[in-house]
Amino acid sequence: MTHAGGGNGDKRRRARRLAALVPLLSRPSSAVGALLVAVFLLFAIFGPWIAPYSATQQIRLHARQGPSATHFFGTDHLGRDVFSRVVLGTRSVVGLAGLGTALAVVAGTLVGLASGYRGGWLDEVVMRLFDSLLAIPALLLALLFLGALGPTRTGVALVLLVVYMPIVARVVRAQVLATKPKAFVEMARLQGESLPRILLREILPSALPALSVEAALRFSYAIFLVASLGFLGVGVGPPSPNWGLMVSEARHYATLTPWALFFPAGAIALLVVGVNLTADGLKQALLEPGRVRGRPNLATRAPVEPAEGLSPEDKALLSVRKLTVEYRQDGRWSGAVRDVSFDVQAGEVCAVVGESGSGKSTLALALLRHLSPNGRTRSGVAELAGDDVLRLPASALQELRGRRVALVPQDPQVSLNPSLRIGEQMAEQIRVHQGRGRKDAHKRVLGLLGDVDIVEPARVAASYPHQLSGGMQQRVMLAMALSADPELLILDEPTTGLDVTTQAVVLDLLRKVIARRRAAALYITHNLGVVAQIAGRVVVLYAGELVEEAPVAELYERPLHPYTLGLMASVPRLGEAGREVALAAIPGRIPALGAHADACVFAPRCPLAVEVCRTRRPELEVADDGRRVRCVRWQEICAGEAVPRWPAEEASDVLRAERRPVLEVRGVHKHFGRRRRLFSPGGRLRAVDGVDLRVDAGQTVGLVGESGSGKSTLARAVAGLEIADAGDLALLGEGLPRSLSRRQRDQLSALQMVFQNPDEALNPYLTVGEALARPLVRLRGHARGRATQESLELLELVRLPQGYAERRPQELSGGERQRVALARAFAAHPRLIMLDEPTSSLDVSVQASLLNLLQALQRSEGGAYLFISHDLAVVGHLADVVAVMYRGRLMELGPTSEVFAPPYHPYTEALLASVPLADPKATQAQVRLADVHVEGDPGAGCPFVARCPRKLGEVCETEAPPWRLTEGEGGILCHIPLAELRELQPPVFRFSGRRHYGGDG
Amino acid sequence: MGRYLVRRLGFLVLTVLFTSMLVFAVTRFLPGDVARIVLGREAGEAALERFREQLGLLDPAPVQYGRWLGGFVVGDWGTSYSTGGEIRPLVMARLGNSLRLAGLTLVIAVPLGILLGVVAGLYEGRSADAAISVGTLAVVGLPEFVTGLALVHVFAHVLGVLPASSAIRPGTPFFEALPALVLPALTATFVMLGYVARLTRAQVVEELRRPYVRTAVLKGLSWRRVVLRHVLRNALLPTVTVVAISFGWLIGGIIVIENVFNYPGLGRLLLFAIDRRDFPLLTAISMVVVLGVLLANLAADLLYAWLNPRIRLD
Repeated sequence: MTHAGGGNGDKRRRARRLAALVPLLSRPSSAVGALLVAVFLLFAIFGPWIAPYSATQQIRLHARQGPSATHFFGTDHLGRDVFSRVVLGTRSVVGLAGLGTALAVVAGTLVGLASGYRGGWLDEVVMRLFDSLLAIPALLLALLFLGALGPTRTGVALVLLVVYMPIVARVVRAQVLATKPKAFVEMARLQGESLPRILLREILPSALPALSVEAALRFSYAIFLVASLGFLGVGVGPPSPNWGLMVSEARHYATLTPWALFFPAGAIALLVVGVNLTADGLKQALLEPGRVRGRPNLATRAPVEPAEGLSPEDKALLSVRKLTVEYRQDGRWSGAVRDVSFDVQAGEVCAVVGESGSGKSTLALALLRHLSPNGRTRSGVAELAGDDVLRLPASALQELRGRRVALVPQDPQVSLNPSLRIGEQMAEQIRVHQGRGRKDAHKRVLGLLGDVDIVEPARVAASYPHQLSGGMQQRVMLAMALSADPELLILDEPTTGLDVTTQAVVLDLLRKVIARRRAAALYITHNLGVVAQIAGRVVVLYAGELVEEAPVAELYERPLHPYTLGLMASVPRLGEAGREVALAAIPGRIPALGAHADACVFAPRCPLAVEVCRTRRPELEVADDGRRVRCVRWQEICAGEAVPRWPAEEASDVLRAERRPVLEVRGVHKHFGRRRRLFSPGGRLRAVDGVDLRVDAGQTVGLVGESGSGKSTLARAVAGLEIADAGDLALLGEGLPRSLSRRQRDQLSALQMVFQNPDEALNPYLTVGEALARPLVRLRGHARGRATQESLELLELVRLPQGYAERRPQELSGGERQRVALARAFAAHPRLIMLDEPTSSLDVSVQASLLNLLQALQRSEGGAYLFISHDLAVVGHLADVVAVMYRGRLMELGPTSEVFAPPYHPYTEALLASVPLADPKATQAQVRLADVHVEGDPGAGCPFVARCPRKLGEVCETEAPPWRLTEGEGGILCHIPLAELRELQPPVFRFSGRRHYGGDG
Repeated sequence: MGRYLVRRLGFLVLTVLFTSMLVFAVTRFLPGDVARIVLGREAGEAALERFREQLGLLDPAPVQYGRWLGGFVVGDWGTSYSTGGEIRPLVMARLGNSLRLAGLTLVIAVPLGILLGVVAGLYEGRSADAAISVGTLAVVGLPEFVTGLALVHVFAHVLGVLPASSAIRPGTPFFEALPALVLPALTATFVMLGYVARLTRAQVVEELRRPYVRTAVLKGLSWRRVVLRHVLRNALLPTVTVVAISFGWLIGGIIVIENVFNYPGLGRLLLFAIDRRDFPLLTAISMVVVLGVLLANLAADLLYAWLNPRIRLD
């Protein structure tokens, strides 16, 4: 980058900072506040030139005069000009309050940073001291100190420091605690950044918005306090023009010279109000930018434009016709769902599939008439058994919701009221809709809970949501949705937050319940495996448009739309190693809301697009078998004449993994106490409980397990982000200290990590180029110029344009951010990269391109991966060796093909049986694990005993299971002899794998 | 619950110890010769020495602190330098007056503040919210002496319906003292009202955004029921804490208000003690105030824990 480029960046940065202030001035209240503050600042600076008289000049002849042209605010009992005194007093109040606040902010920031980052006993002691200090009311503390120190200006400033420092420190500390665990900070630590740099460059910027709001608030309180002290006669003495003191003096003459009282009092009031209004504006601008205000849109306020009615032969339970839903963004309405029509029959499960931004959730909320305040239904019809839901009057909505249409939301944990018992929450719906009495409703609650296979309905009904596991919570949500026997059930990603084993159980239950009730179900999901397992028909949405609709078997057998083809080809499938089959990746990204001209929405990303696709919107055409597709070339695709070529990395064998270990882990333990504190005992969680693992050069080791299995903790212990309690680590054959701070620079370089959440992957206050240059400077010892140059090469390495160096993370998509994080990890020339669920929050098509990139980089750059994922198909796709973890222990270890074939550990078997296969024709064994919460010490027996479907008997509970070596390199931790485990049938039957979804290009 | 209580009480004792050291240190060991201040400039060296010895001022600091703390705990708070009388009855009488004022303020300000906050939160972004928010923001910023003097001007000077001074005699019954209490309580209310209302509003706005509210609406409940049964139940929980925190805030305000209205409470006594450098009295008042704040916080924590099923009390 040239010097001019840097200047340009500075300019952009400055412009951005100024832009942040626009919302501050656009609200009338904060504009008034800022104006008031500005006036008083002028007084404070130019007071002596503005004031016509001096503060102490007594004009005997003019004493006790009312406001006039010579004395704007009149004169006081001694004949002093009140206006001059008010103006001149500004400096002392503003200056003193400002100085005190500044001291408190600086000291508080330093203490907050140190205390929050360091944590432990230091933090505990500091926070307890501050608690004690805050127990003394500020004014009392001020009076005590000034009483002791004597009333000096320094005293007042010191008092402000002491009183406000703890408050500022707490705010900063809270920000540090929120920022410290973010991926970009941990990455900086792994790259050996110095402590001051981490605190000041990585963490402090994230704390600045909250800090500036707090500083403004403190300033206002400081003015308040300084004025109050003046009034009480502490801190300043007459005749100096302190406003509080002026009020105090003048009040004895309140009836004679009321103006001498009002004007200084008014000045205090105006200044404090001004600062408060400004602080409030700052808060809205900095801490809550772009928040949509207003309560949920209960009724559709905008008139729904009429659409063609339905002909009487449409006898589907739910008929949606030409539905268009819009959101207002930056003052424009743009369509999030456009012109969508489909039917759902009673007893049918219709899946709505799409990636993020496809409009699938908006569609659901529109049917429930519950769009966010900036949304509206523009046109269309949605008839539920003959009634147009979109045109129901607001008064009829209560009858519609919960009674005729019920929603099972994505995240049961936050969708249940935390402070009401389950039974109460369920009964209230029953009582509203069915008018039953309290007792009757309770009986029905128990029945419903039984219907969703809850074993102890009474106990669950008496529980609060937080006492139940995620699977149980989702069952409760389902029971609640079923309580009024709705005609339509909308399921919005109901299993997305659950572990794969629990997901399988909930899917079984959903299938059973829907079949029994003959309700129509609209199942919204992004997961093609789940769709294949549950749906009868599928609607594929892309960027708000319906692009294809078909019965599930036909859709998977022969997709007709290029987008559907792309989706199918981008899903990793169980049993397909990435060495043999490359994933397709759809290039580009989903268009922004409202960015549609007269063209096919998918054209910019479509490998089959022709001229007409870019000039005309394709019609939704009906194929012979009643399937619908919105593509001009569907017939060619159907006939196999047009086959999309997706950009994919070449699928070829990697350089053979050498049998030289990069990483050796022996007997690593990491237990977490629930922090033991004064007066409270700790508990223990064995996150990692004695793990041995080896990663060879050029190899990918996959680490799988449910949430809480300890896989992330293991990686973090290896990285040194957590310090292992026991065990040995070796990197490239040499001992690796457990603590990060004791590792050498070359050890830091050799071991890097990429984290899960793309939103936290990069420091939002650094450009991509700056973030990439750091490890080059720090770990490779490059000079700045060379680092800048090489950071461009790194961008190229992860297939991003060089122009991205100037961008900020906010301008990148999730997939792009993960690419930059990967580039940052590769900057150090690592020998091993640990990847902690790097693709799990990405859409499948984006995941595919990142997985392809990972393989390509391993080939070109060398190096080994430790890849952590909960997704067996992804791990199977990428890994040479798979390690299965459960409650901190390795259950099974071995080459991928062996782990996915008998002999199985019973846990591995259950995991494989639970994976929703992206093939409607595949069948699986019914091996299910109970979704029980297992906590506490596992004792001497097998850690899996509580959930094991193949438990032998007593021995599993009392004796530690042996590590049985398998033929390959691996082993299985189980009491059951290998011979018996070898007899187990593979849990995945008849799986047909990838078909004609397109080749790679 | 038992273990939680023990832990909480343990912290309370530690905090009291720390604050007592701080208060004691500030009042005794900072610059300034107590004997000289109390006896005046003309006092001879011998008299000063006798005074110091009498009060044990020559002992090492920890000994002095221990003696004072022991006395304080058993109720022997010493005698005042300036009045020569026993400190405890004096402080207790004034404390009673201050508590009257604080109690009256809480009774008015808390329900009213919560009401305003709930209304503003439910109508976020509309005119009712704008009026309440800007209004409370303005009041929050006004120092007590400004509001107090404005109220005196209106009600005592212009309308003449209430007394300007609230200097009541000791032992006046509550209802006789009530007219004198109205203006100070109203002043304190102004300050607290904005505080309570703003925090309540923030809670309501935050709860309204939570997904369980959507669940409740989509269950087909009326908006009224959603608000009363679901939103407020969760939004008002933290308000319990708010009230307790504002108690400390209120005490600070009351110090000033009592001096505006000449009301014979702890605040006026405090200023008197500072003025006369009456350190034993000053220490006693400070400790009473700190204990009050800490007990209010403790009560709030326990109440919150008791009301909130999410906190496991073990």
